[in-house]
Amino acid sequence: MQLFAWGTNSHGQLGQGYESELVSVPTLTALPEELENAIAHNCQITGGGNHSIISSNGRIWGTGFNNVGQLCSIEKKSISFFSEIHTLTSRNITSVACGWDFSLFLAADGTLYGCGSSSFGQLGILSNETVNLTELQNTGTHPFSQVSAGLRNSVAVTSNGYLQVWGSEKYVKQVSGLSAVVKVSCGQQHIVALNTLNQLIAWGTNNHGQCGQERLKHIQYPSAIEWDEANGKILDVVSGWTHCMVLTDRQQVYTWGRNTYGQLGRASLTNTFRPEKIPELEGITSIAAGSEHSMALDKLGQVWAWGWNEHGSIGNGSVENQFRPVRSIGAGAGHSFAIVE
Amino acid sequence: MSVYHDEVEIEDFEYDSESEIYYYPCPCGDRFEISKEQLESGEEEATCPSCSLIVKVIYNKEEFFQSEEIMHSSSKKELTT
Repeated sequence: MQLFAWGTNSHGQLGQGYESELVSVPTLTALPEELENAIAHNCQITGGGNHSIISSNGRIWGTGFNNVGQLCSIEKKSISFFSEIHTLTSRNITSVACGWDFSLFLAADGTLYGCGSSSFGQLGILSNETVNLTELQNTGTHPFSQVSAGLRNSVAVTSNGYLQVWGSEKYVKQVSGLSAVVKVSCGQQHIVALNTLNQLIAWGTNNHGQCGQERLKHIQYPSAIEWDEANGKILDVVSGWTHCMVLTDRQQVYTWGRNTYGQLGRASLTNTFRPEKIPELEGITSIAAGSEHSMALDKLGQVWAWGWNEHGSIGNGSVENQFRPVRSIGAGAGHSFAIVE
Repeated sequence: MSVYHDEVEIEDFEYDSESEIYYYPCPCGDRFEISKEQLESGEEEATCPSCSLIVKVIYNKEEFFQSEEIMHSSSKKELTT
């Protein structure tokens, strides 16, 4: 298996062995041999503001900015190639979420760990000091089953469908009473969740319609987003900073929120508060969102990318914004990464 | 006239007292920045050193000056005592 990476590389987050302003075409990443073997079987790759983390078979590798310990090491030394985070090796981590300058690690038993910045309480403690590795307290009765990290917030779902939110409460309030959640995603200043009734719920800043509401600039309490049942069952929801995306069981993609840089993948540049389909995309199996760009993987193994492209995040060799999905070379899944056979 | 990427309240910026610069995350990975000096002179555009995006800083200029004056006068007092 091979890993390809592209986009911003200012702190070595692409794992190329060097730092550079950007890499505008998918570029092969040299991996340690055991990681190369590991990603063939099972792999999740994700990125934060300036760091990237791979979770594979219970082991964790990271690269990029480490100025506040977001790569979980005391030295706070940034690295430009994927190297194993040994502190986590024995903890049986099954998934990872990267916030702006912090990281969350979910273990098989539902324990949630975090490292990096917690200056807004995003790791459950308010601290201006770097957090080396901490356990985020679970106030519920069931273990955590899924996590997401945003700019200054963390959010986790428990196995019985309840949510727990940490971090700055200025825009994203703590919630109670929201149940039956199966998937949650955290944006810049909002959270969007999917429940077992095929409903989308969001709250927080709505200045671009990212919470799926037409008028209010801010949605204080979790509110349902209009979803036409005829569009099918929602399998996944992901959020960029100010736009959201869902994947349905018809393998189609719907987007809403901010469209200034083409994040919604449409001909028009206007924001929409209502989920609308991207007509070109059929047979999609997986979706991912960067801060202002979006990606989708189709069943033929093709990666589609669109949105803000000033740092080559679309991977088409250009730095022009892309307003319609364009076919990008390589194939795979992840946040401006692709894993190729 | 610039088209702003966003409007950000000054209290959402993080202040580095050593460099006297206010920072806010930019979606490119770098940070928007504006110095205390720029704010004092009435500047309201925070720029990112790595990309073309610009944010408008939302702050009350009069209040900003006043709080600055209070800070300065209190630090002067500390010095004299």
